[in-house]
Amino acid sequence: MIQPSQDADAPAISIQGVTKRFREKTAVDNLDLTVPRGSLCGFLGPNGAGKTTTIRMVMSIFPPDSGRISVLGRPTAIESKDLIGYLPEERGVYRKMKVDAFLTYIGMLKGVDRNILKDRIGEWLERVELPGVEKKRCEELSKGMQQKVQFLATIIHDPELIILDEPFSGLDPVNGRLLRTLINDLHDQGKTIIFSTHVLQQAEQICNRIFLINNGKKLLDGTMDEIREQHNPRTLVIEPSGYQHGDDTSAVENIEGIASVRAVPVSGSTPPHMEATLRDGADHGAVLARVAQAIPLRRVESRRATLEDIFVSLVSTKDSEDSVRASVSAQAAGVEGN
Amino acid sequence: MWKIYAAAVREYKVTALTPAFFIGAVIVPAVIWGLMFFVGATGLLDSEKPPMQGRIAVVDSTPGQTLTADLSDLFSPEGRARAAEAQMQALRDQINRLPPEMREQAMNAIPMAEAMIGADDDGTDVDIVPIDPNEADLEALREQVRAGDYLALVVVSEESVRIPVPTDAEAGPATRDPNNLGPSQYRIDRAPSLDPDYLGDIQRAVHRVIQNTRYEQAGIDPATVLLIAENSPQAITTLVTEDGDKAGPDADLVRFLPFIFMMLIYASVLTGGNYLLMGTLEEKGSRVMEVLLSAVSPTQLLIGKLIGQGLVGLTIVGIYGAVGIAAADRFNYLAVLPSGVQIVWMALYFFMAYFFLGAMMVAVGAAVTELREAQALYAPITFSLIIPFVLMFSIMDNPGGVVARIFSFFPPTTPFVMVMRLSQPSHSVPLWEIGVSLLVGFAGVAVMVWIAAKIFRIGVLRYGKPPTLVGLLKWVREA
Repeated sequence: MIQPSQDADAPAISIQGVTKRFREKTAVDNLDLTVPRGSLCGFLGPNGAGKTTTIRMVMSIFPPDSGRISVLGRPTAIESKDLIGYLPEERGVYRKMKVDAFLTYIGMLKGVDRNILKDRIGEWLERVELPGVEKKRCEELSKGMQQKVQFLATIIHDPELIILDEPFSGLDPVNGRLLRTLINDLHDQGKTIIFSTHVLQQAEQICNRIFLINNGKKLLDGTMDEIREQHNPRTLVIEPSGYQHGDDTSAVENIEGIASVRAVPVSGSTPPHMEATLRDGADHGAVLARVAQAIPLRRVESRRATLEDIFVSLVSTKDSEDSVRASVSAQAAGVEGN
Repeated sequence: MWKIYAAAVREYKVTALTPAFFIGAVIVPAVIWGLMFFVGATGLLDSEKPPMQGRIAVVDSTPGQTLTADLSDLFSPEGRARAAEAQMQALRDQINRLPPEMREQAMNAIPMAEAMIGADDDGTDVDIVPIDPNEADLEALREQVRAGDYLALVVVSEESVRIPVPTDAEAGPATRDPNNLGPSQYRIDRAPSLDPDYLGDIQRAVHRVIQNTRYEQAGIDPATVLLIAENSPQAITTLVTEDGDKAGPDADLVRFLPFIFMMLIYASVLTGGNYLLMGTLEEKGSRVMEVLLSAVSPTQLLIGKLIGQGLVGLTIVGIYGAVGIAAADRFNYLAVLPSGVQIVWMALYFFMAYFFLGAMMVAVGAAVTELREAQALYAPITFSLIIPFVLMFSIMDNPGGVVARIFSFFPPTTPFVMVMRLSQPSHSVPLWEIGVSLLVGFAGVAVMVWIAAKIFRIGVLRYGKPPTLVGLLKWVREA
């Protein structure tokens, strides 16, 4: 896998202090973001977080109210549009146009010679398992097939930077996997790829870097490993053999390094167990060992934070937004420090 | 530039190089043209009429009692041959009066005219039955018409032919009483089987008799009157201008040249504009717009679309213009068509009209999501399109007048008004007015395209509630 080469060149995308307002609503609020070249980034956020607005500003579809954006080392995307492949969230095809005419048109708009496109379109259609649809009108294709054609329209000019806004929406699992393979292949070729999604498993599976924004503000920014490290699990799942509710709970509570214990009753196929929260600063491994000594165990594990947990914990904390923001910026600072 | 070119080429291809466009713009007019020609040449539309056979009763109370003889003559083979020959002679006389260069071609029409006018024996067999006015029982004769014994009953009284006096106007409306005809009135009671065309023939004969009788009473020779009528005054007008003299044809068609030229531009501009509106709506509706905007800037796309559909409009002008020139050539009106330089001016005005209107259409298309929402924003477009029609007659009648001049310098109407003025053969537009109107008009186009680009940029990615006209102005200020 090609590592981001921040030292070699300017970053693929650099966003500095960018703000965009629509009437009263602030869609993007003083956002800073750097996408290193060659990275495969997930751009996450709940609906209405400002993802599409950010991407549209990166694409120079509309300008930011303030702040600076540079794309592939150039001050605006207008100057580097032909090097960018962009799959919008609101995407479509000309219904009456034939597939090859549509792809040729888009390719020509991006400055590729018609003769080169001819061969390339055939090859790519084979690759996305749509051989022989060149002469079909777009409206004759199924929705999933149209999505693949749209994806080809995004990459037909062999761009350096590929921005995909919700690329997986509407794809069945088979085509979703195909798209994932294509994204990985393109990444292996050294392309910088950003895709936005709200399906976190996808981001978790594919990305080596994550941005999370909400209400136009950045909540998370770092590599997957860094983020997992930051959100290191502070919870142990303990399932004693022969679970005695009162005794076992108090036994665990007394272990050094445990802050609190919660009993979880039986539910479905999950047997009754306890969830213990670690004290700040407590050594994870040492506490695990002490738990094993204290009570007879069927199972003990530290819960691995999924991106979903992090996402929900960051996004849904409404009552103490300021404190979340404070802790998040502290984390972000920590990430950058790493 | 390349991107604009690619966008323009696509617009042209998907609009003009389609079977639908070819059928609409080429085949349908060609078929209509061909059909009209075919029908005209073969006389298919002349309905097959049964020959008129039967009797016509004539009650003639005029002093000379010439009506019977006149009508008999009208329906006799000799009389019909004579009438046809007279018509042909009149046609030949008219052709002889044409300028020599047009005469030769007009001569070609004579065989066709002969075939149409020529009196062949079509089986017409009509007896004119004179009835003595003193013995005529009009009621009984009417019953005979009803029973089918007569095709018609014609009653002419002394009152019918008396020389009119000023007090005749006070006689009041016609009565149905056959015994009581008013001044200048006569009666025809006809059976349903009498063809209206023959009714016209009978009426003309009666009118001629009445008029000739009156001329004679007044001491005028009817033949002299006929000569006077046949030789109506002819004006030979020449427009004397700085650029030289221009022959001023007097034909009615020439009067409508400005209208024809304006309609030509109007139709092609409107067609191109409509394609723009629909195309933009389609790109928005199918969500292909943002895909395009990832490759081109909104302004590039807008200009590409304008150019592409402008070429479509030009194609339409070309097709109809060629048909028009062919028609003008065939009917010898080539000389009155605008000259080379004027065509260049008109082409410029076509582009002016197209870009002004097209920019408005594309802005409306970008602002709304559905076609029916476009209606609310259509007012400025309707306004620009209706004014030329409101002004049309004033400008055609007086191409150098104040109204024509004022609206020559008002951008939405400039191209239409100037084209009307330029195509009026009897009028010569001063060069400075052409220059100033081009300047003003294209300045207007620049402003309109600038406004459209702003609306386009904001509108193309907006879905949901359509803006009002005021809202659009806000967009222009914001963008």
